[in-house]
Amino acid sequence: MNSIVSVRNISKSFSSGGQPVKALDSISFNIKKGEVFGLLGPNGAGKTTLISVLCGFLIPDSGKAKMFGMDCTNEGCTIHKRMNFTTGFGGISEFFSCEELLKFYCMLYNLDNTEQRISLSLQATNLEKFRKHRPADFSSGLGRRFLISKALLNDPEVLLLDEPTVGLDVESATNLRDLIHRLKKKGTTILLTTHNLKEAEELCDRIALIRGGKIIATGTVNELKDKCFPYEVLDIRCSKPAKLGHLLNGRAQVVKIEKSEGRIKIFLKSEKDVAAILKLISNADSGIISVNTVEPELKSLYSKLMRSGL
Amino acid sequence: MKDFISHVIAVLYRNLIWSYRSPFRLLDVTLWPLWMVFMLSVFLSVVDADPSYLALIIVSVAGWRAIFFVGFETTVMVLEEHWHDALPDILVSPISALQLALGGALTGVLKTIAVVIMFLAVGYLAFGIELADFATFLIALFFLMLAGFSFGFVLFGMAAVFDKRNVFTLSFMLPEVIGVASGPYYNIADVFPPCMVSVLNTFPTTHAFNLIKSIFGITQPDYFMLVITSMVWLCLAIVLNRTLYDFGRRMGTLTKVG
Repeated sequence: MNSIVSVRNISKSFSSGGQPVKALDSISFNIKKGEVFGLLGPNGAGKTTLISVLCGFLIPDSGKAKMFGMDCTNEGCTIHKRMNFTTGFGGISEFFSCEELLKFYCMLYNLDNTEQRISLSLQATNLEKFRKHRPADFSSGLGRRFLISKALLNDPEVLLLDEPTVGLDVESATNLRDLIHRLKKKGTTILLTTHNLKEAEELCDRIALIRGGKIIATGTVNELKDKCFPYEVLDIRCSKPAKLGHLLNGRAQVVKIEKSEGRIKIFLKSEKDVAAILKLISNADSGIISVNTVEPELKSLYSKLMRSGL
Repeated sequence: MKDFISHVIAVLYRNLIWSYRSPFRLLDVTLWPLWMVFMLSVFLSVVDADPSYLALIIVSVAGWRAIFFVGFETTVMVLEEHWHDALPDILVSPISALQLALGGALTGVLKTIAVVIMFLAVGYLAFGIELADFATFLIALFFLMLAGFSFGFVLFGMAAVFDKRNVFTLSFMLPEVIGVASGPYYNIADVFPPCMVSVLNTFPTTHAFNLIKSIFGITQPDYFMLVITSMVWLCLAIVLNRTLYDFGRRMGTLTKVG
């Protein structure tokens, strides 16, 4: 797969209270065609600054951001025909109905079949029945959905979604995630910034964790889990954890043992060791109730990386 | 070219809906200009002024409005969309800054046409005034609108850098100040000191108003200076807009996402 978005050594500093603050510090990554790429990080990490650079609103101090092989700083108008963007914090102009605003955007993108496009984009967010309503009067959730409709109008090859589920109720957020799945199947490349780790885990092919303007880790969720949590963990509920601990202690396959009331966690070097250890403990008289393998959650991965980096 | 036209028409479409539905903006082309022209013309008719001077007032105020409408409309859409947090959605579309400004200017041209028709109708119906040299008036009007665009385009660039509330105030105030200082219905040499007159002679608006006044035999037109100053102002506006716009993109003041 080819890179459709390429970010190379982007740095950007702002002055805050007379002091220079590095919003982006030599950021580099690629997004492949058809990929959903998640950008995760705390507030002020630099996610929105990066989106601004990709949209051409902000000129970086150094480095290059490219989309479709074109420079985001100097070839914005050509790039913008093939991409779109929406933010969970965007606003909507007063005085227009949904239909009028979308018609305006159709003209900005010089699109044919305006009526059909408006209908399809409103259907995608279940807003068809609000076609004649003024989106500025909508609740924040409906407003978010309208802005997503706007972002779908030109059938973009690249879609930048800046915290799109902010302010959405559970049902709308689920619908949006379904929509992202459908867009992904269609081959749309998506850059998603989010605080919602479950959402990132569910939707993203790869993620980048950003902190203090620096990317501290990039990869698939599983790759990052493997790097951060290189052990296979068995969680065993039993009546005699001390006996089981004694049995396993000092074994070559076992890296670490954590004991608690009626429970023992065994950290193994690799997945291959699981079978041998299971065979060993099944013969021991330790009152085993259940054995589970523990999959580290993105939440713990995120916390670990945000504290220490990779 | 098809994209260019579509983008400019998109802005015009948006602005016309906005002007029609926003009470404040609708008054721009109805009550306020009527109030302005009546304030001056009724006063002149009460003091038994020469009817030709009454006609001058009416067409000059129309020209003055032309500067304001085109200048203001060139800038104001960016400011309005900024206040609705919708500017990023527009800037991420394929429209360029020039196309945004031209769409706004075209809105200003339509507003000017509406107000000129209204003024001429008021002049004819209320005071029995007919304009003798309509062609010269139209030429002057064209150059006043071009000057308005030059102002507006610089203000558009300023909106990318400076506090947008201040730019909004300037976009109201500057065209009015420049319009009235350029001698719409008086001779600038009779009012201002020579040093100020020299400065005002570098304004295309001064020469455009001279053209209007020449219809009534008050001044001599200087077409050469009119064209030269207009071109210089336009070129300066393009350079300043480009510089300010890119400076805003560098400083992060053009627009804020989220």
